[in-house]
Amino acid sequence: MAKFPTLILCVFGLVIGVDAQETPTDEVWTWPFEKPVRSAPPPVSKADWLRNPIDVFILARLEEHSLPPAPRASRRVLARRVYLDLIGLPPTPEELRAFLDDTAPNAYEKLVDRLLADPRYAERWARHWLDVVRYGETDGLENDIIIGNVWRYRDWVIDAFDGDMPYDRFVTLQIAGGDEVHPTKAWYKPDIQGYIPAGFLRLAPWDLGNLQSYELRQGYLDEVTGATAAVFLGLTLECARCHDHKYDEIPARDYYRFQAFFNAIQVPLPPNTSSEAPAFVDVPFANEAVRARAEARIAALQVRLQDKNLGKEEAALLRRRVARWRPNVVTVKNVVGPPLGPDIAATRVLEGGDLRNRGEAVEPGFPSVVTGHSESAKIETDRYGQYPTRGRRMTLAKWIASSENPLTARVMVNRVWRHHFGRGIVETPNDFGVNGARPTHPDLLDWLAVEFVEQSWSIKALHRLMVTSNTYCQSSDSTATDQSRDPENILLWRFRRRRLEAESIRDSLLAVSGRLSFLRYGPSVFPPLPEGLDDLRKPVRQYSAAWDINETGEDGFRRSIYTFQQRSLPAPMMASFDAQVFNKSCPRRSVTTTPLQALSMMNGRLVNEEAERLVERIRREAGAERRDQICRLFEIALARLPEPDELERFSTFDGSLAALARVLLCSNEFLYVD
Amino acid sequence: MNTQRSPAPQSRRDFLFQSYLGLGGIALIDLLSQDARAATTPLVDPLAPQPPHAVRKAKRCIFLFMEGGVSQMDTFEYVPALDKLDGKRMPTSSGTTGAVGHLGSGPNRVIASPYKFARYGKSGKWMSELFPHLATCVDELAWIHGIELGSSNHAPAVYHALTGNMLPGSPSVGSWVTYGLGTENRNLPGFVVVGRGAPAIGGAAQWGNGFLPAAYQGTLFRTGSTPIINLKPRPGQSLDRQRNELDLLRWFNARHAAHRSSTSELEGRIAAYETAFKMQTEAPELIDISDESAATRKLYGIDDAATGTFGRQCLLARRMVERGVRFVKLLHGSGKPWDQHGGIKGRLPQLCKEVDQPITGLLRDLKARGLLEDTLVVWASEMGRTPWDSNLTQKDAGRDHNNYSLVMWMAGGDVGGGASHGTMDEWSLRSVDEHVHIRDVHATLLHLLGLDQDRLHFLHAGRFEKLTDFGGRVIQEILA
Repeated sequence: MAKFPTLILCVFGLVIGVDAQETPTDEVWTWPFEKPVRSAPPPVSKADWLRNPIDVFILARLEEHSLPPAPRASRRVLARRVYLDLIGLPPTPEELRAFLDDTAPNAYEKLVDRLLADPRYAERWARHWLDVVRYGETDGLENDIIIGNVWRYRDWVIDAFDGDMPYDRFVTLQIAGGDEVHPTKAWYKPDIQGYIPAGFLRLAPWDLGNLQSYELRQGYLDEVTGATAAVFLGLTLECARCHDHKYDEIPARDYYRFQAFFNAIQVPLPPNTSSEAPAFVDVPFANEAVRARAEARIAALQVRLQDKNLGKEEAALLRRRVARWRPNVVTVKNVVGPPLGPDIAATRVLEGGDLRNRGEAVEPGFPSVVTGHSESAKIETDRYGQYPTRGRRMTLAKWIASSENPLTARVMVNRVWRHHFGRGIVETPNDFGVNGARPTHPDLLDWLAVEFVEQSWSIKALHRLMVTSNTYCQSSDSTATDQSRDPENILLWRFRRRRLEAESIRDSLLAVSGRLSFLRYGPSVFPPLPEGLDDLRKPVRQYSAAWDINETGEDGFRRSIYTFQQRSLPAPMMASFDAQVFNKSCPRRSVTTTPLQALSMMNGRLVNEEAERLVERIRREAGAERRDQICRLFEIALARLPEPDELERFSTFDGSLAALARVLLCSNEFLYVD
Repeated sequence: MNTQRSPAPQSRRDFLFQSYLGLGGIALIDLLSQDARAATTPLVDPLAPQPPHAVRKAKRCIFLFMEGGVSQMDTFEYVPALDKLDGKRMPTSSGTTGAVGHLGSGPNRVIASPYKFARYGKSGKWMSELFPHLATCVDELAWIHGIELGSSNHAPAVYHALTGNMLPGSPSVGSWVTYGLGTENRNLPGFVVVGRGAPAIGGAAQWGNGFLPAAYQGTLFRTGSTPIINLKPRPGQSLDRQRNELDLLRWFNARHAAHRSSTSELEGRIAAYETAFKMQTEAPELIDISDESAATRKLYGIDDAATGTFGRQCLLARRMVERGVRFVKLLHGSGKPWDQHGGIKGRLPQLCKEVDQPITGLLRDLKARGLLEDTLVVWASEMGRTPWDSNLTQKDAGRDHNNYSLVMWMAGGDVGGGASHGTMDEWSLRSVDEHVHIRDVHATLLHLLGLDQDRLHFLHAGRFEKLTDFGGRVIQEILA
């Protein structure tokens, strides 16, 4: 952890003129570690503006600073916003029309419910989660070996969002899938489906080139320790690996106590590196349609593999395809333990994080900054002590996924909030500690956290509450006279306009052209790379990542969440729009504006091909008259009709309809949500 | 200290917000307006040129990266002690200051360098016969011997050398420099990587922006006719017609912005299209070397089969820095060519030949044009090698990895030509004095470009991240 006390001190003194002794490092920062309670909603004067409790907390702060909220956005704007926000796609003209024609007073709420029930919702929100859990399908580093069929984990996340899996269960399975202990039974088996979500513990990059097994294992443990704390608790526990945390009250000893929960883990190596029985596990497909697809695909591929005239490369490609459809999952298991094997190794505090400086042995325990004590955790075990290596992760999972944990609900509520409102209540979603950003509305976050737990940890209920608030429904433009008092819109006096994420840009382009496939689930697909990258397609060696040819044409037009996540080769357009293949938990993507994005929009295959398809669609739907075509183009791409001056300018443009389509697809109006 | 400059607004904004609750909200509005003044333009223009923290001669950098781990004792490190041990088992795997990891504990045989060493230049630098060209301008170079990295495996060592962190996901040196200084030519990317395209070790994370905004990503330049992905209009689209379309787009976007408030980001995107349009003509012109003289072509060895490819890369590097690109990274070959587990006699001389004349040509050309004065040139690899081969039988012997024995050189700017720092033990296993760590090299590189390692930071996941992490020592010994 880098140390910048002087720096903090000076800038503080400079900016706010406080006594320079009062540095945040001296501050006692206890809020995140105290259990959230519902505080009484603050008094507000403009009560007619309130639609739900969120609005009370927001309005109170606005009134405190004499900032009037922006007027409600038009229904058209609102529809486009909530479509893109909840399902990641713009409304079709017909969907929009249906909503605008619905005169019921709760038309908007009905729309929200429809969208939350839409399977496309899960595909969008699962992608947000994949950022947080550093989802990737290859090991990165040298040779970039394919981890395995990690897409099973991705599909599990989609299913979880689809079915509104209670968040406490969602958390538990990712930390402790397969680690159940049974209080009464003997000879019980863990639920095999639980191995899929436990893949969370094996998503990070992995240095296969490192031949030093103890180093490799320690690196693995350090990664899962840091990731678990950041993802579920919003704690920068990893800063305490080499020394006591410089800012938060996390001693290095607590880091290793936390790590001890993972010390029963046995990690599978990829298939080509291990002659030992791989810990890959076959987990049957729970989804009948996927199972049928897999069987049909494998059968067809096997037939083709019989062909004696197959070239070597083609055969390798077919075998990779077969492997992708196999039901095996990437997961972790526990070491066997006595009597068949050694017991779990002791976890030792490593001085300076160095494996050679092995210090005190520690037992699993929760961070004292949260619990207030340093006692060891009571590990859940089975009744007979039959499985001595089971239960550590489950004990941790249950502690995290508990309504008593002050951090868990807050951290998830804040993540969801950040996606809806463009800025977190805590703007550092992975760091609620003293060095993180301070909450802008702590009472609101607490209120929502309590509500979240009381609503059985339902994420959909959380969405509903947020997107039906008046706060959310504000216009992105405000008539507020003095914006200079909060130019960054921290207090939410208007909706925060924002650029679509890379995935939404691509998916929306495919949607308006009519080519987007709604086929769900299954092995990842390989949308075409830009011309000139063909030399990067091939695997460096067997089992290395390869940007394969898709099995079917349709696979080129699947939603972006199904795109293969190759750590050494993030799809260039995606990467330029800030969607990398993440190596570490990404709590918030950067949003940048670069000429390379413009190049990919102007000249890239995607926009140009979809513009052609869109033109075909318009010709079909709007006939041959240019003005009709332009109207339809606006309706499809921007969810509105052109204004007279726009119609004039577009219809007198000296160029093709495809050119007009490109202009709209490249426009800010298409790329931003109001 | 209160003149702290944070090149990108995010860090400053995040930074200020840490105080938020501590103030009980009282000073919120003051804080917000302070912040707004601080954050104005860079948000929409992340690559705008930024003043350095300190005035130094070098304004830009050419970073020559030799993937695989260059054998120092066959190139730049004279190790006569190995002659006596040739073919025998190495008596120790420890240097004066410690072991070189797990290597050398098994059976091995020492391989004395088959190459002749001699002293060159006024500085009397020992070099092998494999770099006859570079030897002629050795007095321009400053050397760092025995640099330590954290891993003897390629990928983590490559990440360590290029991002300061052994795991992927941190910004590369070029990203940090571009973040700190912006770039001078807005019609070209600020940070360019020129490679042959085939997979580099660790892939794009080598030149990735990590947690910095995507604007600081390295842009991979290809040596073919389309140097940047998507640079050319689609077949059937002409620049004129595209201009026409972009005019309509500009009108449409301007109209859109006019109906909205807080439009700086929208305006930034309008400008980005204009820049991209200009890039379409500027980038091809950049790679079109037909206007270079025959003498220049000869200087870089462009028309020679062995030196042609890297010669072209080096020439491109000169053309880029000439046009104001901030950071150019050249990748030699593909698939870690310098990983000599064998081929000290066969392959290594080939590799040296491929780069020797082009690099020397680059240095001479920069010097002749007055560009060496304000361009930092850096030679690097991800590690050095051991005196021994653990393969006892192969005919053309090789060497193992050694992450304590990297040799680098720098030239240009405020680099003290002819200087040298770091002394290795008699077997070239480790340095005998204080360790020079790769973060010291990073600190020095930033220093030479006018950047202060501690002030070039970015708040990410609760930490002020910087290239040198715990902080490195600026190696004063190699400065002019």
